[in-house]
Amino acid sequence: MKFWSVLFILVFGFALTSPAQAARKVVAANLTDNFVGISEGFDGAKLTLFGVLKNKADAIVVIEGPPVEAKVRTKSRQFGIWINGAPATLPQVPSFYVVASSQPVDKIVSEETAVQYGLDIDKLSFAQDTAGAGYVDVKKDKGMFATDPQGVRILESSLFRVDIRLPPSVPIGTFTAHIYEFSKGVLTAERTENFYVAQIGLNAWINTKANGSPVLYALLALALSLGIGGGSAYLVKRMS
Amino acid sequence: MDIYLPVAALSIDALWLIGLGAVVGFLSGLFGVGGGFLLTPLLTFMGIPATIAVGTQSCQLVGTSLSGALAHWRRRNIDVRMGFILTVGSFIGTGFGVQLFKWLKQIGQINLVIVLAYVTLLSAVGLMMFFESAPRLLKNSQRIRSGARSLREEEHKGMTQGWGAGGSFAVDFHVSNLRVNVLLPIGLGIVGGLLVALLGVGGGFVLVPAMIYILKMPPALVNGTSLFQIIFTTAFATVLQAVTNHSVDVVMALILLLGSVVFVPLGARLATNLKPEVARLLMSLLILSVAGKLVFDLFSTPVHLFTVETRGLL
Repeated sequence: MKFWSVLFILVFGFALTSPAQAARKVVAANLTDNFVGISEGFDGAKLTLFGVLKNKADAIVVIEGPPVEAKVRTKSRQFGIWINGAPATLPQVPSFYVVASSQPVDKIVSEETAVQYGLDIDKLSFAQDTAGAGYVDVKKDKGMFATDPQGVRILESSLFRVDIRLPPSVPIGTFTAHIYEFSKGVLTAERTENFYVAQIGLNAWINTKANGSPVLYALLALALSLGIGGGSAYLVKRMS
Repeated sequence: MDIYLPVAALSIDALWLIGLGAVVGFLSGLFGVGGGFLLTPLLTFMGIPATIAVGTQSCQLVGTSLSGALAHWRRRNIDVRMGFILTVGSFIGTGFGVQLFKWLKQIGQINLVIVLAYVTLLSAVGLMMFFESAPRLLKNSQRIRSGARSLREEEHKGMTQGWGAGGSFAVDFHVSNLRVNVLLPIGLGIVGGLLVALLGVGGGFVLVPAMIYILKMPPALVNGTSLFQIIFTTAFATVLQAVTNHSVDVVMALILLLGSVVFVPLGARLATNLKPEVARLLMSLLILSVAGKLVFDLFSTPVHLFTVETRGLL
């Protein structure tokens, strides 16, 4: 009997002392697609994420691309021209990072919380030195790092929608969408959804050959090039 | 009409690529040069990384040079022996050049080296063409015709004695009617190979004058022999670039090639109606403006002070 009461107090007490933990639930959300195939005519893609929020809560969605190792070189003017300096290596950084929210992030959470959950793309942990900030800067220009304060659209009282736009030169690999629900600045629910980006069809075949068996790939490319060059010479001769 | 380039991993408007191939093909037909030295800078202006532009160009040049060489072959304008000896040198140059390319890429200076080399070559060739063609347009072209006659007379004087003709490395080239030290064409081939590997050009605009003035080959055989040699050099460069730098995008190469082969004959047809001096003057202005744009970019403050190079981890 004593054992059971102790256990009851432990369990119940733990639940009481950490209300945020106990209250944190899973956001009901789903992606319209889990796979983006890059085919011959690929010029970017759009995915839609739907979800349901608690009443009067805000949502922030972080879409993160596969990690990469980045070498960042700072240019400096030497003899009047701009020359790359020695590289700084960032061992693991996201290749893609978009923060979409239902209103500007600073209106939803405190600065501290924004940093904690990586909701401010200028204050990501790796972006604190020159190289990291430079990486973010270049990525922003390519549309790979972005903030979209209207990206999460509340459709009805609780239903929300996020349109995820992937640029034509989107990185390849596994993407994650972290969905955070904040109520009065406190995280109340979250969820992680994955989707995959890969080359498909002829593109995938070419890329596999180019990286896996480059000699065969080169010989094939040569054969096609010689064929077109020789064929055109033949046609020109026939026509003239 | 967007097309995704699988090796470059970016999307580009196919019409731009075809158009670029067409312009370069048209110019090659018109001026009788490969046009590769315009294509690489123009591709980089469109946002293609210089490394991919160079690697891909070598693949595309295989087809273009074969097409050009076949026309010369029918007119028997190729010195096959000379072509193969040039190729020996150019394989050495290409092999070295691709390794140099890889090393420059690793230390992050490949773009700078490519741009500087282009600025040097384009300025030199452009200025030479400009100062050669502009005065001729103003003056009577009497002098050129007499010059051509004296060259033709020279061909009948028996075998031309090139540099080192009496030495132990002297080789006879019967088609060219020439005896020359074999190290000279090998050396020229090395230069040509380096140009193919580092700049993605055939190198004809450097080799052709060198073969006339240094090797003393008959001018009629020079274009064909240079093109003949370029087929093998660019083919070798394609294989090495694909293996070493993964920088050959076959989709881009074939689109450029299609655009170019269609427009070479059109350019060639127009060339017969255009005064050669006018053609060369226009060409020199085009070359100089591309060089000017490259120089401007070198000196102007870049949009980003950072260059980022990424490598996938998964």
